[in-house]
Amino acid sequence: MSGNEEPRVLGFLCNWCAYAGADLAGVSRLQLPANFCVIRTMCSARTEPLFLFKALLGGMDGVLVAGCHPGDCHYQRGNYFTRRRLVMVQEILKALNMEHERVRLHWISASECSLYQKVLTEFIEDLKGMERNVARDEVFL
Amino acid sequence: MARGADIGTEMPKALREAVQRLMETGGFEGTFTLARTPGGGVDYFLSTKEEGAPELLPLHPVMPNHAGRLLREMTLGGAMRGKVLVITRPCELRGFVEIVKRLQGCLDNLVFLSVVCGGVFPLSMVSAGWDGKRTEEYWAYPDGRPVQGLRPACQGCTEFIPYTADLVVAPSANGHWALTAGSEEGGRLIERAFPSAPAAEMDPKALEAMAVARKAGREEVLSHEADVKGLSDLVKVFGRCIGCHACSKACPICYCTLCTFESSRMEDRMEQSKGQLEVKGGIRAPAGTVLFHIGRMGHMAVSCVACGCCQDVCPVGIPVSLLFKKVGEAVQARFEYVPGRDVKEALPINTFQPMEFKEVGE
Repeated sequence: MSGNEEPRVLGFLCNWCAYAGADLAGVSRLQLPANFCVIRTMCSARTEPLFLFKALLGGMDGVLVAGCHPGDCHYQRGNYFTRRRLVMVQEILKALNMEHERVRLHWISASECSLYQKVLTEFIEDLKGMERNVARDEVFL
Repeated sequence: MARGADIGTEMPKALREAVQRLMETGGFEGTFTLARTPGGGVDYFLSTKEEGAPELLPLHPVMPNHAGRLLREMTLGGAMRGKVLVITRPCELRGFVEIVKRLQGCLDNLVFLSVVCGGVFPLSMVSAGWDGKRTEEYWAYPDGRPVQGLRPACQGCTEFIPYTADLVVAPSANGHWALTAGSEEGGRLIERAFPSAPAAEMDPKALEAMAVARKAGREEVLSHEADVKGLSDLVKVFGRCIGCHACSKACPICYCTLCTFESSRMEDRMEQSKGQLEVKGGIRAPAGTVLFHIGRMGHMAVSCVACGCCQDVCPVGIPVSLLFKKVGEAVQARFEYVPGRDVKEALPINTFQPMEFKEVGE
């Protein structure tokens, strides 16, 4: 990204793990990037592909989906479905030669606040190395 | 596989006679096939009585509607009441199987007759007036002679052999056609309808030649407009889109009656686009054309059978089916899934293995 521009990232965090992890990161006073918006979902499997596409076409530079580790889902198997769905979304973006790296999936448990910090900072660093999302300036969407 | 029966060389007459015999001996309550409609059109028809029935045109080389879509509507409330002989193309059968997996239709009481498919012509050809000679020329396709003017999706179709049909009309040796069995039920039907017809089989050479031609065709059709390189190309391809949603109406997989893209959620109120206007200084109306198409890919790419109906109905000539074919193939390859191969196979997004795709999600 050019100049001092900061990438904008949207996160879909599951209520039971990733969101609690984010909460703990705040309580623990870990420094977190400010250009990150969170949408809390009851399960990571609530993130429909459409949400991700809408975020990308709406100009978000990155979209993070985070949920419980495999096997730890509060709803037994929701995150397994999320994983397959993310594979599908990335495959669609790849087939259209769009930047599939803008969509990421991570497993963050409620106690892993430092992992949350690390994932977020790394993601934003990686996005800084990329061009700004062209959808941000595209008027014919 | 059970024996097949030779039905001669004169297509499509031979096929019509074969269907007639199957109907007489198979104990069917009706047949579901293409038929001539008033005004020179062609569409599907469920015929239960011979008298008064229109001229039946089984496997006429056009696809006015996707049969899978029609069968879904007919069987959504429960199985067809009597045994019905359904005559469709492979992609229509595959589309229906996909919809049955989504519990939106029922396969019971349906016996499928399909074909080693030579593709179909665009719908516009029927509206422009059908030349009878074209039908005869068309049925020579196993000779390897390219048929001109097929739908682009058909030119590049590599899934032209039906997976789950009970009866398959297939090219046999020396320009003959054979009615072969794809299931035990199909074998019984053939034995009853053609007890004395000479035995015949699918000609593997003809199938091979077709496969080679189709693979080349696939490369060709996917290399132009469907070769999208990022968002700017996508905006170009869908720049013509008028947002009529005809592609989703014609799609065999898009079954939601309350489509999210037609809900008020997708209507762009000025309130919502205020931010966009501030940043961009203008937005296109109708908004969300690209989102509609990508979103639809997210909903049905795993099951896309590349039938080409979406492109056929597009009023502005967007290569929708080619794009969906390309994306669908990529997604399906990742899950090693072939839509419509087997009704018992779970949809890739409705199933999982605990230890898979570890590279996605760390």
